[in-house]
Amino acid sequence: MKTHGLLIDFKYCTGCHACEIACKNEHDIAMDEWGIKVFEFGPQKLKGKWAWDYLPMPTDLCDLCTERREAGKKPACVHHCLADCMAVVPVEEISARMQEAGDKVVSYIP
Amino acid sequence: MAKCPRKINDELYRDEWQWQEGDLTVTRNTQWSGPGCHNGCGVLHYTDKDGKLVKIEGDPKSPMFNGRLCMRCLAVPEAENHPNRIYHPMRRDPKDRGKDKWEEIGWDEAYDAIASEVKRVSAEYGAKAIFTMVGTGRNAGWQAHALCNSIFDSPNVGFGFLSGESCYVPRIAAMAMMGGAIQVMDCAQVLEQGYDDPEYVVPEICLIWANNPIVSNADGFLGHWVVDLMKMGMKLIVVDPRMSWLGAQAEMQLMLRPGTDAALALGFMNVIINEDLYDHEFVEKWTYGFDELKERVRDYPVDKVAEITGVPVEKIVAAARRYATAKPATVQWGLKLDQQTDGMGATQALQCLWAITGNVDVPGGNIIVNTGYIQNDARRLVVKHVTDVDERFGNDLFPLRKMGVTEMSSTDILIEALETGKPYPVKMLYLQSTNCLANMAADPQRCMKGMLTCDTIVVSDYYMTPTAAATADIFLPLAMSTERVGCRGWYNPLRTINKIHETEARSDEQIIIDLGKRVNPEATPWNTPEEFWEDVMTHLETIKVPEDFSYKKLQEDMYFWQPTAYRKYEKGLLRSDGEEGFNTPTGLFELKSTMLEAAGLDPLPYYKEPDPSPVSNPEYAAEYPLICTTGRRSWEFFHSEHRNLRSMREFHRWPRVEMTQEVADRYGIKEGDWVLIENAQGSAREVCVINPKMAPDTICAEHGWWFPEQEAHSSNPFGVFDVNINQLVPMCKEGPSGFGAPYTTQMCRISKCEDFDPEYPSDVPYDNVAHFSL
Repeated sequence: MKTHGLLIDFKYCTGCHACEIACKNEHDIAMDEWGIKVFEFGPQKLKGKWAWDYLPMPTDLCDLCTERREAGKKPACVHHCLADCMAVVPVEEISARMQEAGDKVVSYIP
Repeated sequence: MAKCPRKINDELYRDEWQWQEGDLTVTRNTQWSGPGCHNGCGVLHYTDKDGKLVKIEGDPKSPMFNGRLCMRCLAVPEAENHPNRIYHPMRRDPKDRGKDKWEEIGWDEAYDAIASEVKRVSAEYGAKAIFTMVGTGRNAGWQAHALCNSIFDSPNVGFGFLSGESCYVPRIAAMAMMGGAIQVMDCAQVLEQGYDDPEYVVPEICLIWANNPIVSNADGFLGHWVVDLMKMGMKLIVVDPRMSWLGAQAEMQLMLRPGTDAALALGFMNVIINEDLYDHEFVEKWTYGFDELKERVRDYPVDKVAEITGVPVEKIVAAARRYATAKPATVQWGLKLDQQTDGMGATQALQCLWAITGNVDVPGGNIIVNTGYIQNDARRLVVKHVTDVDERFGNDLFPLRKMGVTEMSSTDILIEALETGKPYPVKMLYLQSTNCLANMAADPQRCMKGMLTCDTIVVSDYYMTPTAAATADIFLPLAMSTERVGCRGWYNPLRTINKIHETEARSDEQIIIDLGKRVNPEATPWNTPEEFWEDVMTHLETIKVPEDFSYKKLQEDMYFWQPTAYRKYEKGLLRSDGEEGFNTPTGLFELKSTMLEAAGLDPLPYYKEPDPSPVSNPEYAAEYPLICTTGRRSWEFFHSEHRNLRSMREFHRWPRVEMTQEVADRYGIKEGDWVLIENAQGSAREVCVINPKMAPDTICAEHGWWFPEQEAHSSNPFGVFDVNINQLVPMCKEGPSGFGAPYTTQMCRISKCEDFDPEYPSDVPYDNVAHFSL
C-alpha cells in the first residue's frame, strides 16, 4: 500500500526541466531514460483562448525518493522545482490538497 | 498551493556554512561563477574526501531561492569535472594562432611572459594600447577593471565587442540620469522576510516587456519570482513579438514589431495622460518635465502607434488603461530594449510610464535597489585612479561616456583602431571570461580579423573556446565554482562564495594579485584572495556594517542583510546631501532628463524607425523581408556556455530558429529542417521550430552557438561560423548616445539548408521535432 502521492499544481509548471535533471542526478538515470518526464500541451488556441501547459509525469523508475524521504528530505524533483508547484502528500490528504489548489492540479501515486 | 509551505528540516539543512553528511562535506555556497547565470543562487555543494564536487542541490535556507535550482546549476558537477577542463597555462607562438601548437607552461612562466609584454607594449605605445575585454557579469566584472586600470594602467576595459554596450548598460545609463538609481520590479527580493514582510504588496499587474524572465533570469532577477506572484494573484500583460508560456497565461499579449517598443510605450502614455489616468500627486511633487512629456506624447496618437507597432488600437488602449489603473503595477523589462540602435528612447519611455503612474519605489512597484555594491568596494581598493581616462575609446565622441555614465571603453571604436591604428593603436588584448567570437561580438569574423592584428592576446577561461583557439597566445585556466572565493553584493543580502578545494586553475583575483606583483606591486599588497577580501571588508563605502564584521564572519554567517525602505525619496535616503528627493540634478525624477539635454541628446522619450526596417529601407526589405530577433534564452544554456555539457545537449542539441507555420510554408521549410538565415552581411544555420503565434514576418534565432564536439583548430573553430547568428549583425551602428545596437532588428531571408547536417557523438536518439520545446 502506497502511503504518499505526488501532487502537481500544473497550472504553474513552466516546463523548466529541473525535475527531470534533478531526478536523473539523484537516481543515476541514463540520458535516454526518465524517472519523471515533462509533457507539453500547446501553445494552441482552445475556443479562442491560448493554452500552454506542461505536465510532469513520474515513470516506473519513480519511488518518490523513498531514501531521501526517510532521511527527512524532499524528493529531488519537489526540492528543485523552480515554480514550487510539486509536493509529496499523504494519500489521505490528497483530495483536500487538490481542492485547495483549485484548478489544473493532478496527483500521482507512482 | 497558493504558497507552498516551506518546512525545513533543521537537522539536515543547517544554519552553519559547512558540515558533514555521511562521507560527504556539505558547503552552503553561492553559485556565481561561470558557467551559469547572474543570480548567485544559494546552493549546497557536496564534496568527497578529495574535495571533488559530487553533487549539488539548492539550499532550502537560501532566501528567495528556497532550495529550487535550474537545470544548468544542477549540471555544475558535470561542468566542474568535465574532461575538457584546462588546468595548466598554455602558450603558443603568435604565428601559430588557430593551430594546435600549444605548449603547457607553468604559472610563473605565463605570468612572466604577460608581464614582459605589458611592459614592452606600454613602453612602445603607451599603456592605453592594452585593451582588457570582459564577458557578462557574475564573479568576473570588477576584476577586469582592477586588472586593466590598475595593473596594466590602461583606461580601456570593455565588453567582448558587444556593440553599443547593448546589455543593461543603456538601461542603467538612462536610470542613472532620470531617477538617479537602478530600479527593478519589486518581488520582495530585498526584504529579509520576503513576501511575508508586512509592508510588501503583491503587484496587481506586471507588465512584462522585452524579455521572458522565467527563462532569462537576467541581472540577478530570478524569473520564477513572477510565478510566485502569479500564485498570489498578480496578473500579466506581456509585450513580446513571440508567444511565450508567460504570454499564454497573460490577460493580454501585445505582439509588437521588433524595435518599435518606444512607440508603443509612448502610445501607452498618450492614453494615460489624455484620459487623465496618471498619478497627479507624484507627478506634481516628484517629477520634472511633465509638460514637455505631455507635449511629446501628443506626437504618438494610438492609431499612429498601432500602425508603427502592428498592435491593434483597442489592445493598446486596453493595456494602457489596465496598467495605469492597477495599484500597484510593476514593469519587468529586459535586454531587447538595449539591443536596438535607439533603444535609449524606449528605456526613457518605460521609466516615464512607471513614474507618471506613481509606481516608483512603492511596495509592489519598481523599487530603487543597490546592485554591484561590494564589487565596487573591491574595485576601489585596487583601482586608486584611472590614467588617461579622456583617451578611453568613445569618450571624445559621446558626451555621456565623458560624463562617466559608463566606465566601459567602446569596442565599436576599438575595432576601427585595430583596423586603422586610429585614433591610436592597440597592440595587446587580455580577454577575461569572454568567448566573444561565439557570443556577444557583432560581426564576429570582422572582430576576429581585428584581434589578430595584435602582438599579444591572453585569454582566461575554463575550456578551449572558439575565441581562444582562434586568437590566444597565452591561455590562463580559471578556477570554477567550488575552487575560488568571492563576494556578491546584489540586492540583498550580501553573501560569500566559498572555496572548498584547490586545483591548478586559478581565480581572477589570484591572477590579479600575481600579475600585480610583477607589474605594479604597490597595487596588490595581498598574497591571497582571502587576504584581499578581508581588506575590502575594512574599507567598505557602499554599506554600513557592524564593527566586528569580517569576511570570515560573513562566510560563517552566510548572509548579511542591509536595511531597506520604500519611498526613499521622501526619506532623504537617495542623495549624498541627505535631502529628500532623487539623486538627479533637479532632485526630481526627470521625465525630461537634464543630463541627456546637456549631452545634446533628446531629453524626452522618442521613437526612431530601426535601420534597416521595412519602413526605413523598403529596397533592402524587398530582398531581406523578415525581421530576425536574436538573444532569446533557453533553459539549457547561458549565452555561449553549457554547449559542452552532454546533459544539456541531450535536451537541446542544435540551435533553434522560431517561425510561424505561415513563414515556414512560404519558404518551403518544415519543422526540424536546418535553415539558412542570411542577409547582406552574413549567414548562420539553425533548426526550424514552429511557434504558432509571432509578430508578422518575424523570426527569432538563438545566439551563442558553437559545437565543442567539433575541431577547435581550424579556420572555422568549433564550427562557430556555421551557426553564429551575430554574423548578420554589424559593428559600429551604435545609437546616438553611444549606447544601443541593432542586434534585435536585423532584416534577413531564409531558405532550407540542404547541405548541412552536423553530427553529435551520442547513442541517444534525437528527433529534431520531438525534442522541440519552445
